[in-house]
Amino acid sequence: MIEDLCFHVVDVVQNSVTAGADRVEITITVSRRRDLVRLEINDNGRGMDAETLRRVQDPFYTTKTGKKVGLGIPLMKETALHCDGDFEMSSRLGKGTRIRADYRFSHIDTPPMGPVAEMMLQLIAATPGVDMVFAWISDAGRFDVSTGGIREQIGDMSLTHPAVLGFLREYLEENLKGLSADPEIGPGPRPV
Amino acid sequence: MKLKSIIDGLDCEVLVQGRDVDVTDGYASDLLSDVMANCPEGAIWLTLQRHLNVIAVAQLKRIAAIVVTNGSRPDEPVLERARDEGLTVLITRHDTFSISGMIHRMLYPEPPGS
Repeated sequence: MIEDLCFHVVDVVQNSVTAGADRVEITITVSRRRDLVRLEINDNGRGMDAETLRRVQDPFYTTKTGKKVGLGIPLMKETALHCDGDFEMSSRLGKGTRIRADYRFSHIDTPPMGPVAEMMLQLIAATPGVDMVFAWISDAGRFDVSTGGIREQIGDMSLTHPAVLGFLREYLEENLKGLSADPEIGPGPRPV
Repeated sequence: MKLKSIIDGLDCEVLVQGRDVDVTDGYASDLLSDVMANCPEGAIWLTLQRHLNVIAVAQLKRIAAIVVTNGSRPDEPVLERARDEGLTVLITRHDTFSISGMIHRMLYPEPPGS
C-alpha cells in the first residue's frame, strides 16, 4: 500500500507529461455519501496501442531504462481493487490516455488522500507548458482550477514568480479546506 | 512484560508516552485490514505506516504500543491524537524485521543452556 493517493496522481501525471500531453485533466472525487474516492486522469498525449496498454498494467513492464519493473500503475490498480474499488484504463494512439481508479471510501486500507493543495501547486508550477485542469468534487461542493484560468488572472506575470506561487498556494488551500480536503481525515475509518 | 521494560531495552525514541501496559505479544503488519483481523490484544504493533488511521486501529484493537519503523515519523496531529488516546508511540531507525527480532528476544528469551 502506498502512503497516500496523491502519490498515484503525481505518478500518473508524470506519465502523461512524458507522453507529450499539453492538457491533463485531474478529477478527484471524495464522497462519504457515495462511499467513494475516485481518481480520474485524462491526457491528450501520444496514447498507446492495445498491446502496450495491456503491458503497462503488468508489474514486469517498464519503459524506463535500467529498471526491471515499473510499478506505479500496477500498484494503483492493485490498491483500488483491494479496497473494493475499480480500475479502468483506456488509450487511443495519437489521442491520449484515460485512467480511473475507484476506492471504497470506508475501506480501512484506502490510503489517506495526502496534501492535495501542495500537489496541485507543484504540478502547475513544474509544468508551465501543460494545461493542468483540476477538479475537486466532494459532498460539500466542487472546486475547479486550471493553469489556463490562472494565466488569465496573472496576465503577463510568470507562473513561477514567487508572488504568483504564494497567491496560488493560499488560493488552493483556502478553497480545498472549505471542501473537506484534509489529507488525514480522508478515506478509511473515522478515527474514534 | 511491562511496556516500560521493552522501551528501556530498545533502540527507539519515545514520541508519545502513553499508559504503561502489559505487552503480551507482538505483531508486524502494514496492512490495516490485516491488523484489524489478526492483531492480538495487548500486542506491540510494528508498522511503517504513520497516518491517523494507525491510531484509530491501535485504539480499537487495544494495542499496547505502536512502533513506527524505518525512520518514519508521524506528523504532529497524529501524535496529538495518540496522546489523547493514552497510546504510546515509539519510532526507530531500524526496519521492521530487525526491531521485530529485538522485541521477540525480549518477550520470548531463550532459556539458558539452549
